[in-house]
Amino acid sequence: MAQNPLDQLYAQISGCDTLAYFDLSTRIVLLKNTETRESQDSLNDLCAEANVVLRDGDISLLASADRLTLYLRSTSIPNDVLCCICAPDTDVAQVISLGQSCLNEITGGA
Amino acid sequence: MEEQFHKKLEDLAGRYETEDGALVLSASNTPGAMTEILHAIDNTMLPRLLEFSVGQAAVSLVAGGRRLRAIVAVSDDLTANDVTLDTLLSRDDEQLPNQIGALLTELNSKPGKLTLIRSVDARAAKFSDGGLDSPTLAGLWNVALTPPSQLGVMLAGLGAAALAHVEFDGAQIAAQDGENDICDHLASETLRTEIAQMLQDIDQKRDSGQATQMLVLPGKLPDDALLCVIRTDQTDAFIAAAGGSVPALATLWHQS
Repeated sequence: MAQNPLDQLYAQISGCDTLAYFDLSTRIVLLKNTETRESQDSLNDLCAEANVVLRDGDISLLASADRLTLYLRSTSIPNDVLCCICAPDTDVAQVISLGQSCLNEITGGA
Repeated sequence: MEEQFHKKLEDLAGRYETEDGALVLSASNTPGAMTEILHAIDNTMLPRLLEFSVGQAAVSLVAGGRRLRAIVAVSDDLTANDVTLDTLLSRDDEQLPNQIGALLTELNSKPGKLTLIRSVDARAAKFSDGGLDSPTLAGLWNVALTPPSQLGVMLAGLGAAALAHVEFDGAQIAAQDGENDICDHLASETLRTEIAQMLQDIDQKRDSGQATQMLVLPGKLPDDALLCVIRTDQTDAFIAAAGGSVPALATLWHQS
């Protein structure tokens, strides 16, 4: 059985807490990393949040005192979005780079 | 709300304690006391009355736009109190800022804690522009201004082409230090309404302990500028057209 691609990504990002993969058109959570502590309701809320903050862009960052939430839109399938919740000191550039590769792998993009 | 924002920043930094509603900036008679006063000025975006006190001695200043604009009151127990009140400071007149520097130095020579109460006041509203910034005052007062203030770090780091302070439940108050066309975008009611709605939507989905304090959104502004929302409370935020990149802003957020 193929390994969950979000679990592979999770292992590569230091400070990562949760990874989820959404389809914004149907507002469905398609995939999450195995270790996530987020409930399904919480993941649904994140999906709704992605719909709000990605209205005009391909990436958005939300910061609170103790965590960063990054939303990254797939370049090949615009309705597909990766969500990463991570520690405030996480290397966001690395998350974006690895996240885009992961999206490409999942969607079969270039 | 401005005060809440500063308190929030100060809480995040864990720098200041409060006493009877006033921020305790430092012990007086310490080299850092004048620096703290300059930081307080540097952290004041909207016109506010800043009352610095040590015990019963007090100096009331008007600051805004991160500048010191005027002195409006001095307590009688300060001997250097023969100073022109209610006059806008300018680069052409070094005498007045030097007199204010002498007053503050005398204030800090008194035993006790240097405290600050920042408030909305009609006297502050009279001075809506001009004044001297903290680096200029530091030069005149011969005070080291390092490290820079926390808000100063954040705002300088944003590389902002324009910055606005917005109250979502009322009129926009200030757009400062901006390029005109970008300011126009930040000043637009449409954008303000959109941000307010967005923050409300986010809040509804989040636990209260996870309030979003900064939001970075590409695609909202021209010239690839990032829209950076630095939230103050439920209805109040700084919005800026930030340069740089999303990772750079994340780093800046973490460091500040």
